[in-house]
Amino acid sequence: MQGIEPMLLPRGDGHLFAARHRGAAPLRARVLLCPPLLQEQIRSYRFFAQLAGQWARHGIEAVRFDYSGSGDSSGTSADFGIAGAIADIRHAWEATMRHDDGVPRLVCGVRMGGLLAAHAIRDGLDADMAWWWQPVSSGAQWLDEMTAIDARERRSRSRFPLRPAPEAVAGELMGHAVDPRLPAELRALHWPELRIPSTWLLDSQHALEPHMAADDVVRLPLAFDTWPDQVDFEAIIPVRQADTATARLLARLMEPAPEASVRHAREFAT
Amino acid sequence: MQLLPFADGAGYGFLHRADPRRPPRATLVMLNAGLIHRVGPFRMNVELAERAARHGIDLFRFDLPAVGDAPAGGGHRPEDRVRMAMDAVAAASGSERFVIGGVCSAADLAWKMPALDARVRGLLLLDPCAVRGPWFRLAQLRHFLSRPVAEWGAVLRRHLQREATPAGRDWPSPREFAAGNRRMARNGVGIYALYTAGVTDYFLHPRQIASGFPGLADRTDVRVQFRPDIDHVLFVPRQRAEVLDDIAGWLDATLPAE
Repeated sequence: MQGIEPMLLPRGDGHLFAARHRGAAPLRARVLLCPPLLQEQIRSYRFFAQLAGQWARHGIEAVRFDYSGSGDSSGTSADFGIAGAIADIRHAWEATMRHDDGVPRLVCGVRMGGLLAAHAIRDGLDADMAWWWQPVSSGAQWLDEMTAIDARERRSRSRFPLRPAPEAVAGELMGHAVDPRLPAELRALHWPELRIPSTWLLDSQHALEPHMAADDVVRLPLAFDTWPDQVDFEAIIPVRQADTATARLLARLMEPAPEASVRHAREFAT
Repeated sequence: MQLLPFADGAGYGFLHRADPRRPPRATLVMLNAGLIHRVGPFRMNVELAERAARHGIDLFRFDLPAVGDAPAGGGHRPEDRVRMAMDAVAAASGSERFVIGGVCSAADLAWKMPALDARVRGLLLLDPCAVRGPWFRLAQLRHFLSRPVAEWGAVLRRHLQREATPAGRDWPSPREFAAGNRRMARNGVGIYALYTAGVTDYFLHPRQIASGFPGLADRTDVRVQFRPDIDHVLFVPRQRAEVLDDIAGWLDATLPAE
């Protein structure tokens, strides 16, 4: 992809990988993309890289990054922890989003990246606006989903047709070796009370929930319903499926944030 | 770890240095496993880099066209992109010896490289091409009969629709594959090959190894195994760790000392 500026941001003894997609003029916004976790991060990597490129062509400069212990950043997957990931968001924000040109600065949190970004905002990250992409409202709920998918894959006769797979043990989750303390950290993670103008990009099921007002919700096409559940790569998620969502986000940048969007950011978990 | 952009601007990769102060024993170049970007399945390539570094071996991982952050197309064949990657690594680290590795279709691509570039001194092949032969047919029949009777119809239908070469793969003929392996080994190219339970449509019996790698059973630099307990992308972390440890041991035993 043209126009990507990869970076290694110093972080402790190691680094965070980040990639900036320079926005075309006139610059309308800057956004930090906070990725999902574990297999969801790997599964969606190409899609969000392409989406960042699409946004950049529309004047939204996008920065992607990987948490410590994931992707191209330093550390083993067992080094990944919730507090560290929230601190990584703030670190990437400070390193890449500090500009004095008055251009709005946004956070886009994807799935568990949304929940982590919500905590980073609660802890003081000064974003002007947030986009929540298929966000997860409860660490416990997400952990239960991942544990169920892990068990499903181990039982799968197409994945293990000749011998049964070993049972999962502490420190294994969705194909990754993780810190055995991570499940407890996830269970303690809930959507915090926030006051930030927000736009919600939700799959078809969640977009229909009654507390989501139509003016702050972008309903994603059906193609987005299933990817978080998938371990294998049958196909990439086509970025053109996000055209309508991108158009809505661009339009929202030009409008004052509806009060309801702030209220829903506060009430998302309830 | 070093960020290494390609000279033509069409992407970049990461070079894990065992010791930045001197050239490595060799550099393991890991190719994309299908559509999975440069970290590999469940970050396998990063985990392997750490193990290889213990033995003085660098690892380079990057994206082939249309995967990860790499643009589609660009006018280069995948083989050319691999050679460009080797050039970039050689310029950065002084590495003169390469082992090319990959899973599935990436193993097919890796297999072609020794004939195209004399710097390639080893192959790491996870679920590569295989020779089916009579042992496969026997095991296939046994596998078929082990399934519930209710599934037989569907299995037979899939079997009849199946091509000789699995979809998305680029295979030589069985004769070329076996002869190629013999020739490469004779020329000093080490080979590590692992067949998992993820390729039951073409590998089911350990005696297929002798058909695909004839006369190479006694060579210490050729290690070919069948692990029916492991899946195609090494989903279970403990199993993946076993495999990566074994690969690191093979690299250390096969490559010339520093």
